[in-house]
Formats: sequence, C-alpha cells, structure tokens
Amino acid sequence: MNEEQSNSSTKRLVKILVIVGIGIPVLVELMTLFNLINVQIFEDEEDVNGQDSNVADVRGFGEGDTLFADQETAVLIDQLRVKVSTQEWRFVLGLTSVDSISQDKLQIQVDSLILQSDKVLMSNDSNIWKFQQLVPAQAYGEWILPNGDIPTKLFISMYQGAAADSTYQISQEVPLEKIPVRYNQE
Amino acid sequence: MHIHKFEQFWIKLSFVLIAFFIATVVYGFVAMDLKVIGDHATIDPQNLEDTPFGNPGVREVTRNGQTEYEVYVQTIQFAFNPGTAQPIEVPVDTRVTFYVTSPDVLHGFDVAGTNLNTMAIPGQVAKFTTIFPEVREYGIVCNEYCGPAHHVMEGKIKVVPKSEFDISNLVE
Amino acid sequence: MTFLHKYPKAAKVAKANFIVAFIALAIGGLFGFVQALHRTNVFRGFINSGEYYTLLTGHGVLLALIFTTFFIAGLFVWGVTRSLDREPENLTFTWSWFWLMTIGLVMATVAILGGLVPDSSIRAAVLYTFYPPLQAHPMFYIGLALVLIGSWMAGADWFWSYRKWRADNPNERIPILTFMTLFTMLMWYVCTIGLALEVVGLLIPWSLGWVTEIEPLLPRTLFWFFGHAVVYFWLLPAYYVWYAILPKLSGGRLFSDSMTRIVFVIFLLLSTPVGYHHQYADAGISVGFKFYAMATTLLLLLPSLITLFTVVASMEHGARQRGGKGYLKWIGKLPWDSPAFVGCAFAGIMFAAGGFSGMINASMNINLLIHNTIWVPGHFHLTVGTAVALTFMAITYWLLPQLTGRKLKHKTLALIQPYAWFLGMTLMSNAMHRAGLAGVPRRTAEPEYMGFDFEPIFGTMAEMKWQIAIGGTILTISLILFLWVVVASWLAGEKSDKPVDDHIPEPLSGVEHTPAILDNMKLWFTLALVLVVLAYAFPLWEMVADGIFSPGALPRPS
Repeated sequence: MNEEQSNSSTKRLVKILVIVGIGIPVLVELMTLFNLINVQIFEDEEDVNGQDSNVADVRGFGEGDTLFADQETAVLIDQLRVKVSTQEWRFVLGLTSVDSISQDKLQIQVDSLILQSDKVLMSNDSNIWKFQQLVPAQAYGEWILPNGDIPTKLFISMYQGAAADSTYQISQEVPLEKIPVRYNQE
Repeated sequence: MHIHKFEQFWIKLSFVLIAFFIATVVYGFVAMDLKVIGDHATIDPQNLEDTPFGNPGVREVTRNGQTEYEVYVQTIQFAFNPGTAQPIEVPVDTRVTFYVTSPDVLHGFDVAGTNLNTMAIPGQVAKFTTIFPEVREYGIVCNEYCGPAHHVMEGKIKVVPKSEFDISNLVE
Repeated sequence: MTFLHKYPKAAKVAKANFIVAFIALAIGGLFGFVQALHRTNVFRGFINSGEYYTLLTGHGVLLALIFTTFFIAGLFVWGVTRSLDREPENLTFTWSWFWLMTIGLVMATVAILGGLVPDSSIRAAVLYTFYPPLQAHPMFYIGLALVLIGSWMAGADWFWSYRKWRADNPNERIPILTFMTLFTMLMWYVCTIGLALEVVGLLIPWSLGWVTEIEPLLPRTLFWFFGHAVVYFWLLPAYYVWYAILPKLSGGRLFSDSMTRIVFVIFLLLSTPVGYHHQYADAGISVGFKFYAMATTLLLLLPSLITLFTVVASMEHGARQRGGKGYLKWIGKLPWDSPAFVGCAFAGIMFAAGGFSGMINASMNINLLIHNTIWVPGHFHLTVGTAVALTFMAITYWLLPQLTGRKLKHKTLALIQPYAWFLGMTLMSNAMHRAGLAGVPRRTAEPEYMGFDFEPIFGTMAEMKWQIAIGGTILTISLILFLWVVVASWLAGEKSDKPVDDHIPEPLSGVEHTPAILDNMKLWFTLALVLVVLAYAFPLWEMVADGIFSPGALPRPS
C-alpha cells in the first residue's frame, strides 16, 4: 500500500520533471532554431538603421577641453586618466588655467565624482580634492577609486574673490567622455 | 572482430560527415577567401619604436597600381593604438591590411560580430587583409584577458565613403 | 558485500579523493554563481570588477583542474581495484600521491584567493590558462606542478597494480575498466609533457625571477599541447562511466567490447596533436600546421560518434529488457526515475549538442567568428560543464553507497538535481552561444562598451543576459541539491551490506571478439608519440631556434 503510494507519487514527480526539465529546454532550442532560419531566409539584408543611435549624443569632456569656457577664468583639462595596477585604480586629473588672471583669488574644487557604478565620491575640505591657488597656473589631483570603477561625471566649483563675503561661486557639471585607462607602471 | 551491420553503416556515415566538414573549411579557404592568420614575422616587443608600430596608424600604399591601406595597431594595457583614443578610419570597398602586435601582454583584436579576429601576442606580428563592404562603424573588443581593466579595452573602426576619406589623418 | 567491505583500503583512498573533489566543486560552483550575476549586471555587490578575474581564475582552476583530477583519481582507484580484484600495492605510495596533489592544490588556491585580500602581493589572477607575460605568484605554478606530479604517480600506481595482476594472469585480456583507465593515463602522460615543459621549464624559473624575459608564444603553444588533450582527460572518465556503468543503469549490457577499446585507442592517438585548434587566431604558427590540427580534430569526431552509437544501443537494449517496444517508444521504458541514469543520459545528450558547437570551433576559418567570444564557454559548459560534471555527479549517486556502505538519502532531491541541471544549462548555454555570435567576449567582468552596442542576430542583449543569470541560478540550486544529498548520505545514510546493486553484467559482444592488438599498449603509445612529433617538432623548433626566451617580453603582475 505504502509502496504503491510512493510509487505513484514518484511517477507524478517524474512527469512534472520531464515536462519542466526537458520541455522548456526543447522549447528554447526550437525557438532558437526557428529564429535562426527566419533571419537567414527572410531578413538576409537588414537595413542599416538604428546603428547610428548606438552612442548618446551628449559629448563628454576629455583631455584638451575647457572648463568654465564662458568665464574669464577658463581652465583647460590637460590630464584625465585612470591608472590601473593590480592593487588599485587611481583617477588622475590635471588642470591648467588658460589666461593669466588675478590668480591669487581663484580656487577650484572638485565637489564630487559620480562613478560608473552610480556611487558618489564626495569631496571634503581637508583632503587633496581641492585645487588651490592656481599660482603656477597648474593643478593636479589624484583619487583612489573603488577597484574596477571609473568616474563618469564631475561636479566642479570655482570660487573667486578673496574675502568670504564677496565670494563668487560657479558650479559646473562635467560629464566625462571615455577616460583613457592605462596600466600604471610605477 | 564483430561489428554489427548498423554500426558499420554508422561508421561510414561518420566518415562522410567528417569529410563534409573538412570540405566546408577548404571551400571557405579557396572559394570565399576566408583565410586564417599564419606565420608572418617576429618582432622585439620591447623595441617597437624603430618599427612601423612606433608610429601606429593608417598608411596609404600602392600595390599593383591600386591604392590600398595598411593599418599598424599596437594593443596596450588597456587600449588600441589607434582605435581607442580616435577611431581607425578607412574607406569602404578598399583593401585594408592590418598589422597587430602587443608590447606588453596578450590581447585580442576582435571586430565585434565579424570574423576579423586575431590574437595580439608580444613578439609576433599578426597580419590580415580585408575589404569593408559597407559604410558603418564597428566596435573593436579586446577578447583576451589582459589585466585588471581588461573590460574597458575597446576601440572603433569607422568605415567612410571613399569621397569622405580624410587623407590628412594618414601617417607616414 | 559491497566495495567498502571487499576493499576497505582502496575505498578510503577513493573517498579521500572525492572529499577534495566535492569541496573544490562547492567553492568553484559558488564562484560561478557570483560571476553569472556580476557579468550580466544583475547583481554586482559581491565583488568589484577587478576581483572578478580572481574569481574567474578560481572557478577555472578549482573546477576544470582540481574537481576533475581528484574525482577521476577516485573513480579510477575504484575501477582498477575492482576489475583487477586487488587493493593498491603499496598504501604509502598511494597516500603520498594523494597528499602531494592536495598540497599542490592548496598552494595554488591560496595564491589565487590572495587576490581577494587588499594589498596582498600573493596573487594569481591569470585564469586557468595562465598565459605569460601576465605573471602569478610562484606558489601558483609550483602548486600546479605538484598536482601534476601527483597525478603521474597516481597513474604509475595503477600501472603497478596492472603489472602485478598481469604476472598472476598472463593470458587474460585486460579487464575493460582497467583498460580504459590505463589508456586514459597513457594519453595523460603524452599530453602533460607540454605542461611540464611549460610550468617547470619556463614559468617557475621566470616567476622566481631567475630569468626576466619570456617569449609569450612558446608557453602558450606548450599549454595547448596539453590544453586540448586535458579535455579528453576529463571526458574519457565520463566515457568510462557511459561504457561500463550506464548500460547497467539502464537495465542492459554494453553493446560492444571491441568498439569500446577502439575508441580509447583513437583518443590516445589523436588527443594531443590537435592543440593548434586553440591557436587558429595566433600569429606565428603556419597555416599548414593549423590545417593538420584541424583534420586531426575532426577525425576525433569519429570515436565520439561511435560512442554515441554504442551508448544509445546499450540503452536501447536495456529498455527492451525492461519491456520497451517500437522504434522510439522504448525511450519511455528507460529508468527516468533513477538519478544516476538520468544524470548520465542528460550528460550524453548535452555532449551531442556541445559536439556540434565544437565542430564550429574546430573549423578553422568559421572559428574566427566566435574565437574568444562567450560562445566558447557556452560550448565547454556543455562538454566539461555537463557531459563530464553531470556524469560525475550522477555516478556519485551510485558509487557513494559502494564506498561508504550507506544507502543514498533524499532520493527525490537527487532525482530533481539532474533535471534542474539540464534546464539551467540549456538556458545559460543557449544564451551564451547566441551572444557569442554577436561578438560578446568571454572572460570579462563587464561586457558593456561605451562606444558601440552589440547587434544580436535576433533577440536582444538584455534578454540573453537574463537567460544567462537565470540559468546560472538554476545550476547553482542544482549544485546545492547535489552537495546536500552527498553530505546527508555520507554522514547519515542507512548502513547496509548491499546499499546499491553494483553488479556489472558482461558485454553483449564480449572480449572474445576483440582483436588482441588493441591491448598492445607499447604500440599505441609509440604511435601517439610519433603523431605528436609530427605535429609539434617543427613549429616548436622554430620558436626556440632564436632563443628559448626570445623575442622576450617583460613580466606584468596580474
């Protein structure tokens, strides 16, 4: 009696397993076969459409581009790179001021970095995230990234004016183009 | 030895199948000009400067009275040079010969979705010729693991109409 | 009386090998699950993309090299002992190869997992093909060398048993289980020449800094000297199960003893001189030698097609013994409720599918469309990932009771397991093949590019990614079921004198019909070496003629 019961329940289980475990695979493969044949016979020369829309048209900033271009204190991105070694991923940003202006009153600060993984690296006043006093007209900063991640956007602010009350601040959102990623041979 | 007659039939059928596969490949080689990369040249991977790879890019050459192009590509960790910083631009319907090598580690050079696919091995020069039949852009993928940022290594080929091909981008 | 009671010493050795194999399977399988979710961008929270390659190395080494080698060792200990009716000749020797392999495995694993420790200098993110100039910690290469030496000693152990048996039985034919073991090991000796030269001759001195430069093509070529035959080293034990045990599981007898032997002889001859078919896209090897490798590869289709015939014929015989009728109706009479049978049968079906995509891989110029795309892992998850792995899991359900003297527990879960594997693998592998046709590369943490999109022939990239992730998840569940059944049966299965029916009936066409020349191991081994020399002597000579380490590249840490 018990034996019979377990026998019939095994039979039912096998039935379900065969339907799910063999039926779905057979279905998937038949669909693939059908689609392959379909494409070969009926769509031999697909129109070259839609291929141009593969890249979003918002052009990002890259090396050689100018920040704050509409200001009198425009700065040039002269280095933009991710240096990779086995131990760490490092983001390198170098800026040069374009015109000689009253440099002693200029401060540029990277407020935050948006990464590919949507993580945000926030700035913090006491660390290297701040470009101060573009006196030799050049500044350079490095950030350790989470391993494997790449910045896609920067938020940069420019402060002008020595006294706190007269500070004049502009912020710019800087979407980045594909940053060169190179092996760090240090 | 005893071989069942069905089994004998099956073995004969197997040989026919094998011969068919080999014939397919040979047909591709001979009739469709689908070749694989062979033994071209070795090169010192630490001294590419003095070779054409020292100045990578697209060159114009004349062969049998025809204008053709040669593309010298260095694959480095983690970029194609040229290809990544700026696309490799070539004209449509023209013979283009690629020369690919690597100064550091193994890379792949795969034009995605096509059969232009080669390994870039330090010390070896891979050479292959093709004609791009249509005006469009192709992605280049590094398809051999080359280090921690392998997955960002990509490039682009831009096939343009002959009339729009800009010879000022050629290298000497 | 089962195996444990007749041969307690050998049972202990086999069990030890299985324990290591299953631990490697558990860890490697877990890594595979993480990869399936990470690559498809379904979930990237376990690891970052830099660490992906460490996991990928672990997945490849632990499953393809460690799980297989240890399981095969256990299986062969069982088969040789049983078919020669002898315990191992010298247990000190037997345990020393086991421990040597285990020490090697631990060294290699520590080197790999070191990559997950921040700022660790012990790293080996070089994947299981470890192509230089990417360099791993020396411990990785030394560990692999120890596993290799251990496996050679294991082979010697079985030849030792065979010689002793031969002295007592001068006129007997080699029993089929031992025959298959010895020919697999002969093939292993031929192909591991390449690996030994590469690892011991080139990579260990280089990773220790004794030489600074290395020529990348030479070790790569030596790796593939070994690298394709190794897939037959995994596959032949699965064939061993299909030939020797599967007919019994389906209620019948092996169809032909002589065909079985012929198949193993062909594999010994042709497994190694095919290595260039992994190098079709390499510069530095002439087209002629690639062509020779292709012809040899396609000839290897023959033994697999014969196997298909013999296995199906044996199964049909079994089904008819069980009352099966008609041209195809007999299939329904097969024991679809026996986990061991179902696993082996599915493994065979998947191997046929994998064989077809393998023909594309083998066809030189067609191969370039999918070389190094995700098509390739799609292919070998059918072959090694199912034909081999699922066979090993399935036969465990039959072997474990013999080795432990305990009945299998949780038979329902054990039955669900192979069905789940078949379903999961179909989903995953189908999508991998299709994505490969669009050019999606293998071995990458993030197959998404900023400058272009892949254009699938049909379907969408998103749909394929989900299919891979879902398939991978089902496979993981199946693996957990397997491990659960094994652990539960091992620890708490009901003790029994006869926990499973372990009788193996004689073949339909027996050894008396088999030509004696097939058992001539010296002849076939020599011929195999000659074919290897024909394939490899000249290209290797060309590579080393300008200096073994030249044209040399500098090492890069991995």
